[in-house]
Amino acid sequence: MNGLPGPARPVTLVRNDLLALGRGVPARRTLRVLRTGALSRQLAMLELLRRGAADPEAAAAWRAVADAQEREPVRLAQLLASARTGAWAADTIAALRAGGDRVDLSHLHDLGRGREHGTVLRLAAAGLRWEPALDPGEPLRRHLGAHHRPDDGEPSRWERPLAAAWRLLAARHRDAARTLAGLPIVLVPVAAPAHGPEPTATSSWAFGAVALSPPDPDRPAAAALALVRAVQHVLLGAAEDVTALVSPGAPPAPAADALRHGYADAAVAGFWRIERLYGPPDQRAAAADAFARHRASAAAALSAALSGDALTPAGRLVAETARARIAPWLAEAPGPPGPRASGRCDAQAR
Amino acid sequence: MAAARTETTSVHPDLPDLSRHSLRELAELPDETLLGSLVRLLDPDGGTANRRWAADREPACR
Repeated sequence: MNGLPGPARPVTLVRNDLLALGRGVPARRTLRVLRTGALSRQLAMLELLRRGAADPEAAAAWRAVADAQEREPVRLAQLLASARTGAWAADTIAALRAGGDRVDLSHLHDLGRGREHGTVLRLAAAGLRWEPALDPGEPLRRHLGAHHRPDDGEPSRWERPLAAAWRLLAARHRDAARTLAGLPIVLVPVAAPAHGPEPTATSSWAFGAVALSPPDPDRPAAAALALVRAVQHVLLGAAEDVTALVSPGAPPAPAADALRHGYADAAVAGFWRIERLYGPPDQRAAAADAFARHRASAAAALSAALSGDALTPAGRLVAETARARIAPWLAEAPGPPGPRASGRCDAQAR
Repeated sequence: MAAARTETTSVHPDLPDLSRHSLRELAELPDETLLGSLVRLLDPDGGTANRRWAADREPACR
């Protein structure tokens, strides 16, 4: 390792990273910075917890993790950066702040043993590979899915519908597919509610984790869209960890909500923009309606976010870039233009 | 002479890159460095939007 003490360099999102995020097409470098930010944050949280845990059992557990890191640094780096570790650290800090006096050591024991959880699904389509993990266990289920009934995450029920969603993304939404493939996505299965919309959830404490109900194999667009939308929240949450997007001195909620919704809606509008032209013919009219609705809501939300001075320069750059991305879409006819609405689209039009 | 272009925008310098340090090295960090890197992220009052985003839950399709 590098050796401390000494000032550590900050994790840095440069201007080009923020422009790429605003365009909805983060480069590999940008994704690497976000991963580094998540790992750095989680390492700091772990060390904060270590300093607060005085009992001998906790001290032994920490030593076991440090020993494991010395034996297998690459493997431990993956585990320490995982969504599991982030969720555990955040929940443990929250529990201690709420008056708890013991650290739940189960995750530390897993780290010390180098134990991984979940099942990796290996999907490939149109030259793009995606290998998300499926993890129905704690602490992710409690952290992300506490409001939903659990799903056992039986891989055989997930693989086929996810493969269908991945084929759709790889064929018609390649930028979104590349972004998904470049993130450490962990799917946290939750049961679909008897009524109402299917739930998704993300948490900026658990980088890459997405709670999702089992996808319907006959509706690959629904699962693909849920993933596209969730990833926007993953990206923006991770960026916010590295670079404040909303001014600390400003009332953050309205601007943050507007930026978050506008950013996600821009990606959703981009999804339907393609689907209205190249999706299944019997679904293009609905896709056109969705495109019209989401481009309008994205434009309104991003304008609202930019209307005051609550965004930082970094936040403004992301919001302005996203708004500029969708501005030309507002002049497009929402419906499919007839003869052009055929064939296959291999690149996400902008 | 042309001015040098800067690629860096308003970066918060308070999240140090700890990714290359071992856990035992991190134990040597002074409290203020460690806590300084986290105070913004862990602010329970939501000094930034982060806490709100941490609790983000919404329907998949609207």
